[in-house]
Amino acid sequence: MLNRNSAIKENFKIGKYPFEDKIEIVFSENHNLLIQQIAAWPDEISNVEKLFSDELGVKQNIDFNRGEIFKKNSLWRMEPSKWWLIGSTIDLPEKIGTSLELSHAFTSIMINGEKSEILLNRHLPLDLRLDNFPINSSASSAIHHVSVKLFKHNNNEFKLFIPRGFALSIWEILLESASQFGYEIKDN
Amino acid sequence: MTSVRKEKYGKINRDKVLGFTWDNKEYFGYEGDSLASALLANNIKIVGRSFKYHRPRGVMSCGVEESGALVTIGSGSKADPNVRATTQELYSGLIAKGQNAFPNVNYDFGGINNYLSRFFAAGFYYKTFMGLPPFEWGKGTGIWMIFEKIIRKAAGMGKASREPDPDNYEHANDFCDVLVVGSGPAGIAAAQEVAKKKLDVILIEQDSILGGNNLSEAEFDASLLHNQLESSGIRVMSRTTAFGVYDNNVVGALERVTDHIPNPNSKLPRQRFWTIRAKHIILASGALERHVAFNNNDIPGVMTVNASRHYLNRYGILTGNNIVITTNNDSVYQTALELQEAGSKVTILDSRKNVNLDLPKEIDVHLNTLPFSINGRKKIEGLDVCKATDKNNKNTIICDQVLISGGWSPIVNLVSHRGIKPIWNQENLCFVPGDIKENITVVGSANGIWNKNDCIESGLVGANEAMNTLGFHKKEISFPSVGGWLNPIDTLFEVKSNKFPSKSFVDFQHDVTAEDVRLAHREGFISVEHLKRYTTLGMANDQGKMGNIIGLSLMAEQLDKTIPEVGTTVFRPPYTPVPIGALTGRNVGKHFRPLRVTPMHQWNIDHGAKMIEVGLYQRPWYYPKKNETLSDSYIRETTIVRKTVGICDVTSLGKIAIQGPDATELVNRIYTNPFAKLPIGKARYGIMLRDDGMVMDDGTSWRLGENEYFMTTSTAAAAKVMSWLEELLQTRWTDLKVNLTSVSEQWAGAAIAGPKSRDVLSECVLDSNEISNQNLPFMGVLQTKLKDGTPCRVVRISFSGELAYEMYIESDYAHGMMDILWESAKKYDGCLYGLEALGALRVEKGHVTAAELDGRVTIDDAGLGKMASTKKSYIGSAMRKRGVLNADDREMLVGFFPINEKETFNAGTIVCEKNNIQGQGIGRITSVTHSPELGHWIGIGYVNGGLDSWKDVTLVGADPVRNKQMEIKVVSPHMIDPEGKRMYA
Repeated sequence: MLNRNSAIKENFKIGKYPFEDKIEIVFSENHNLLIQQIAAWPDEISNVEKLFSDELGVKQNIDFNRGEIFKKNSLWRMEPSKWWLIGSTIDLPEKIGTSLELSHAFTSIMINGEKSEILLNRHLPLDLRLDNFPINSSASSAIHHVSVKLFKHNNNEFKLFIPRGFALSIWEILLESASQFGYEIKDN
Repeated sequence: MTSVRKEKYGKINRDKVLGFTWDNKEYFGYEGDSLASALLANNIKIVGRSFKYHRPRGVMSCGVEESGALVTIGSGSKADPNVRATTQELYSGLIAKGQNAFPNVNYDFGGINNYLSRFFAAGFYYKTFMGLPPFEWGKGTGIWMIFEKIIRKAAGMGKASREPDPDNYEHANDFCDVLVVGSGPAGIAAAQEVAKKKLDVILIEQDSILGGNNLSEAEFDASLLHNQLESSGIRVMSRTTAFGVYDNNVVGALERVTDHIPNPNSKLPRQRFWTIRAKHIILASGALERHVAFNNNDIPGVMTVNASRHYLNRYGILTGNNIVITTNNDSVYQTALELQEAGSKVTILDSRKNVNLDLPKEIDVHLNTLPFSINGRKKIEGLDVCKATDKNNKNTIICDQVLISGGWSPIVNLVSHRGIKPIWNQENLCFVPGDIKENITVVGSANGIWNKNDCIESGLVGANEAMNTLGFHKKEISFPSVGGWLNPIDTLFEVKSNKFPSKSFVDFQHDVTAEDVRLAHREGFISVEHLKRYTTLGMANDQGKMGNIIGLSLMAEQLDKTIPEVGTTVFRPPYTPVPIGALTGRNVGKHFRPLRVTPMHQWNIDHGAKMIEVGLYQRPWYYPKKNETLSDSYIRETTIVRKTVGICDVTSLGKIAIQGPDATELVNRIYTNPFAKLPIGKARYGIMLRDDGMVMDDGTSWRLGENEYFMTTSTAAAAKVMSWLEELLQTRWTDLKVNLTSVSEQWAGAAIAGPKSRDVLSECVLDSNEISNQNLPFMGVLQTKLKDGTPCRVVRISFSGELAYEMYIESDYAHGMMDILWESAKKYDGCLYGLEALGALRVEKGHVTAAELDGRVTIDDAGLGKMASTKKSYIGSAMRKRGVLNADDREMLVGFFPINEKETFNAGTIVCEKNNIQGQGIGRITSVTHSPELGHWIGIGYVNGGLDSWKDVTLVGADPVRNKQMEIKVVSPHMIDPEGKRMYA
């Protein structure tokens, strides 16, 4: 098997880039991204949810734009009848929906740190305040007119999914903006 | 005017001395100074020249309404013209200079305009230089075209740098429950009241320190306020101007991040453009003090009264020794006392006959008295005054400064952005906000409330109104009344002069005089909108903050109407100027638009590709060998593909996964040709039409499984096709069980084309037998593995007309796939080829792309009519049968050769009959190339009636844009291997 090649490899320079001796953003990339898109037929949503419960241990049905994070994977409801399973795959009976691998379609960047929310709001017109965008929330929006998806894993801990072809361009803009806070690029 | 810094006054930091340069001379100020206060402290009187007459101008205010002290900051690429010295913070090393003057603002040759002013009345350029005898008799604009350049050079403000802006800017978003604009008494009260209830509050202040009009008070201490507010949970944004209010409570704001820092860190943006979304907005934007129009009311030393108080108590500057204050309202008396206490001789002229106040004994107060004319040219030497009832008898008061208060205008601009018409309040002679039906509350003097305690009260009430609308509580609320002075204001907008031409200014920035307004009236420009455009009143960068009301009052007088009957112009964003850099943010240079690259982008560059932008994509254009030009390179690449093999990155094609039990039904409904019986493991070329029967796009669909297809689209139409299919599923065919997902980014693709492509491919996959002609016939699809075990998809398909394949692999493996393919291709003397060679190959073969399928052609026009099924219904099948789309003389796809084979032609050439070269001709050439196979230039395109109508006829290719004509002939579009022997080999 060939090795995977990151879309942002050309400008993914591991190291610390402080601003006035401070580092308030930490970036890393999920190099082995695994995304399974699961789409349920409208009349089969309850069966898909049951499958999630059986296979993944989902305790409560996940609302639209919300997710649940497990030890090794996470499940996010991206549209009313579409989920992303990240980190593993499950078998989906054809009768209840369709399954599609999108692991190479996106570049997943983790953004942590005290100023991560502020950095994201430099580009995203999303209300990321905790009351409005609690942990385990997701949203689809756009950076520089490029459609992106954002997951909140924890306070000041986000995952940004950028379409692969635009990832390098958006990554460079993020670094440019982050330089005013000081940032670190970490290997994952 | 002799202005001096006073000990023990002001809120500046005298421990920190700042050096700055004004018109190439060095001066000093203190931390906390504005540029204007520092200039005043250094007794610099003339800081600008007026727009048209080049009259000397001094500092006239202390805020954003400034009309005199417009200066240029910085130099070279950092030169920033038209900066208001009153809002520019002083910093060490600041370089400022006067503008619109030669050699400088003190001695300006342009000042001669002042003596010619009778010829430069409003709109003079509309009539003076047109039809000017003896050059033109009564009409014509020839002379104007000459004079225009001179006029434009003589008039104007500062000059922007011609160099690229070296600074960076950024956009930002924020959200809050309540946004308070303005940190004066009302704004602070409102913010604190809302914050008590733990709501998320943002307080915006355009100034560097908080306090608003409180800063004009000696005892007000601003130093702790910022921290106090932040500790109560309020998010404070100073140096930030709310410049516009938009739909759904969106506020546009500009933050000046480093404009006050001598050598800012380059990582910081110079300015930040905020979009703030609030659930409720409280506007505490304050009010501006007005001038009064009278002769020479612009001489340096004229200032608003409240500005002088600010300079004293904020900056510690006494702006004059011998000051005359002229007023029509109560607001000036406290200032007069403070100026007198600070050491000035103060005289008050009050236009009112009776004033019920404890008038200070130390100060000369002249009731029923008006300013008539200021004496002096570059500085004030005296003021001619007269009784309001007798303008013939004038006295002169010797003074060095004239402070004016003609009343106050609430800042209704922001609320006006929402289309809310301001209402004239006759009692207070000002416009106040009209009825607001949105979640916006106006408080304080922005609502016409003058008394400080009433302003604070209105802030508290405004906060409660906000909480009412947000459903936080339901409280009875009652705002303090508009006004608040003990004595009514007197109507005084202008003191008429019997001099002509009078220099009684209404709009200082644009040199609009009271006489200009009357001229506009005489010439019929009586509508307020016409008045504005004819005189340019209110069109300078202060947008009429100082002059609009006076202009309206003068027009009302001429029309014998009231001010509200004349109306007011609508205020539009921005409230204060927003630099272009801030509007663009980070979308400049390489990030002007998002850059899209294929997964083998770097691989292509590493292998010598020259790239070209195609839409947002970067694609390999050609791969030059040493010293090769574009032509050399693509001709070589095309030749090699025809002879042996070439490899090309085709990732940019759109790719859509179509899944579900009704996938076949969907595909069959959108393509013109039948797909219902396409076997698994086969692909088919398809054309899809729009509803109107015209071609929308072409592409292939591969059947991967019983319920799964992999559709490719053209690069240009990828997003359009995806949206179209989604629309069909969501609006017309809701019964179909189909899921669509764009997988354009998931898969990287490469074309392997040429007679040796099978050999190359056989070496690259795990089982070479899979690639045999029998196992993988034309349009066959294979899901297999590269020789190292990485899964991939292969389809036998040809865009070049040669034996060819396309291989797709998951994007992260694209580099590896290219390495494997290229290693193999090199053994067969193959090449990498780019977009230019790709185009040459397909033109030779007569294959269409977006250049031919441009939305104007039918499937028959494109020569693909045989692909239109007569047995099934599909999108566009009914409308394509319209008579007009089947006329015999419709354009049809053909090929073109030059008659003289040494000649070249361009795409866009119009095809004409020999003796009728005009208009749109009889056709057009859409794509051209040099054909290595044929040895000359060829083209494809359309001609009326197609090949049959023009076979063996010599036509003309007319290229009027490039001034070129040549003889051409029409041939079949399939110029090589028309039987397709090569691709079926």
